[in-house]
Amino acid sequence: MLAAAGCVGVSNPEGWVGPARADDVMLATTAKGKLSALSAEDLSLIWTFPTGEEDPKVELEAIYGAAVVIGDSVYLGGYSGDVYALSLKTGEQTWDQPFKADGPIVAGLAASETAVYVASDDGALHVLDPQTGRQTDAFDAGDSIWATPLLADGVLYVSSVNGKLFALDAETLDTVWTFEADQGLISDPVLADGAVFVGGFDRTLHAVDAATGEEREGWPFKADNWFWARPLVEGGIVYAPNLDGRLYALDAETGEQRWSFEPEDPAPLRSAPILAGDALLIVDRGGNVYGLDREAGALKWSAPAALEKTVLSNPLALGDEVLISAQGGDLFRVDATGGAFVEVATP
Amino acid sequence: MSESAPTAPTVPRPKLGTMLPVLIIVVIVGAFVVLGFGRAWNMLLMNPLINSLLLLTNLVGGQFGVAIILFTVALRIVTIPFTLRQLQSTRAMQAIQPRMQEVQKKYKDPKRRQEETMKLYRETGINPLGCFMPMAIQMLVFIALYRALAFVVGGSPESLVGLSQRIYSWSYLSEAVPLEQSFLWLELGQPDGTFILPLLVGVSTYVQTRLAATPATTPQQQQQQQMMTWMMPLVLVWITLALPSGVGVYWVVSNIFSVFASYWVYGRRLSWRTLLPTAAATEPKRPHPKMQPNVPEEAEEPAPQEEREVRSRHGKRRGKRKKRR
Repeated sequence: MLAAAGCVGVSNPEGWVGPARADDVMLATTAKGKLSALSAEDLSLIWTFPTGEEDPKVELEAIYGAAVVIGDSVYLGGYSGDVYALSLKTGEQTWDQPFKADGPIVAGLAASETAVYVASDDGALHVLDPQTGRQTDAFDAGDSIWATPLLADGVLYVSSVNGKLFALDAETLDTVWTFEADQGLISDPVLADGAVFVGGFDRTLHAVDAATGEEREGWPFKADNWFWARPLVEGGIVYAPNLDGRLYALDAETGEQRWSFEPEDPAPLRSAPILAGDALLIVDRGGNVYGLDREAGALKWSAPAALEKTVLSNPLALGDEVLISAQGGDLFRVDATGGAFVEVATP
Repeated sequence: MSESAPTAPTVPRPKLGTMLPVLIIVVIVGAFVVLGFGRAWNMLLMNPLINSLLLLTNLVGGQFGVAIILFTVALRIVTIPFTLRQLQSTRAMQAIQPRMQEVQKKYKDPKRRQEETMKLYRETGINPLGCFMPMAIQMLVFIALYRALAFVVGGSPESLVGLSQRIYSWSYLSEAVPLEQSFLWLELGQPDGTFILPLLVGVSTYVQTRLAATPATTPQQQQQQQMMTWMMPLVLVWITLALPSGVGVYWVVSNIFSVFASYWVYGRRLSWRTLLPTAAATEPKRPHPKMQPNVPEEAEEPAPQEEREVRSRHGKRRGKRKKRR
């Protein structure tokens, strides 16, 4: 019995934030609970936050949601529930004190020139003053928010694990419309072709009309497991990865399935697909990388277990190369034209 | 006794109660051989347990803490034949300890000693695996339950990705996700920082160990029991400090169930005085088991006090059975 107990431990949050680019700076997590700024040219280290020498001590636990860059500021939320504003150049804190949410932050932040939007596990969407970090407004979603809020054309799309997708006026937080799914919505919503594409625990990908909040005709699309990865919409096709290990290509207008791709040994797909070079690239949890023909879904190349690490983060395309962040902080560069592993780029 | 002495050795007729656990064991072992360990482990134990937990959570209105309690009770009820069999076997082994020691002393040749030991088992109708197999089955189920709880209680977004791979396609089950982590003062996916739960685990384990302890017949046994009585709770307290609280809740409820099971088997012998550190286990006692194994009347050698008592009781029962006929 003691041996059995020894097998069980608390599953510690590791984080799955992917790399992001802001001009000539690359933001990526290089260690658990740390964000680093790297040179986009050669991936050399510029700064890391936290350094461990802050007073008071900064402990982010893990970083799940992508940081957002507005001007010279980086806004970052941690699993600890703390939100920080940093200088893009130096990595130094610019607020007097961090904003503290009542729950862990799993979602990425959204920001404009006048507001920083922080979605938290406490069920609230906090609106912060970008200059001071003080809360100016809040919206109660009724349950945890794990998906990054989408800010587009003055409307904020917020999905919650209670199954609701809210369209809010970004300034006043007045509800424009509410869409309700059967179960929790957890994938980052994507706005394209006049619809918001979002999926969740109900194993369903929804296409919600951005103007009316109604499900688009022919939709939703049902799969065998949860939709947790952010879908990619390109050329009227929705590329939607699923935790069942398949990538589905769906007609954005009709919801009709064009094709699906399933590797020989499927593993959950939590990472968003990207277009790099002439390939549609996906990475599964096992670190297997696949390059597909985006028209037919045929496998062009594969790099099985190329990374030998768990990958749950969104990759970033850099021309013909792709930057992938694995759990633990290692960064990998993969050649998107042939699937060749380039190097471990961890500084 | 002598009136019913048979001319040929009596072969105990298999009973349904005996056959059922054996049958279950055979089926489980067979499945593990056919499917392979990993697949059988997931298909037969982990996934059913995980999905049962989710189903129960939905049925009790999303209260995951309540679901853990109900699930523990249900699991203990289902495995009660194994629990009772184990307790009975332990008691029976205890009863023949003096004769066993005699055999050990009397026969120096290991082969002969082995033969005599097996003969003693046959005479007293004890299956030496009677303790081990039920315990092994229970252990298997418990380990699976621990793993299942670890998956279900989560504690991080990554663990939910893992959970998604084990949920059956029935969409009703996914409605339980994400699970309500708050229960009483606890966050079920995290260790209890208030130390209340580890303390409850420690106390309930102590009580359970104390009540289930068989009276020691030798100083060595007595010493071992004393050590176990203290060590087990302390180690479990330490472990619970690092475990998700959901597992601690399971442990407390399971211990409470075991206390009732011990009372059911040992009956009158139990007294709250035995909870005191100086009572019961500290002083070697002669056991008074409520249930005893089948014992044939014929014996080659005079039996010690305990064995004679077992036989005389059994003889009385047979007498009663005859009268009923």
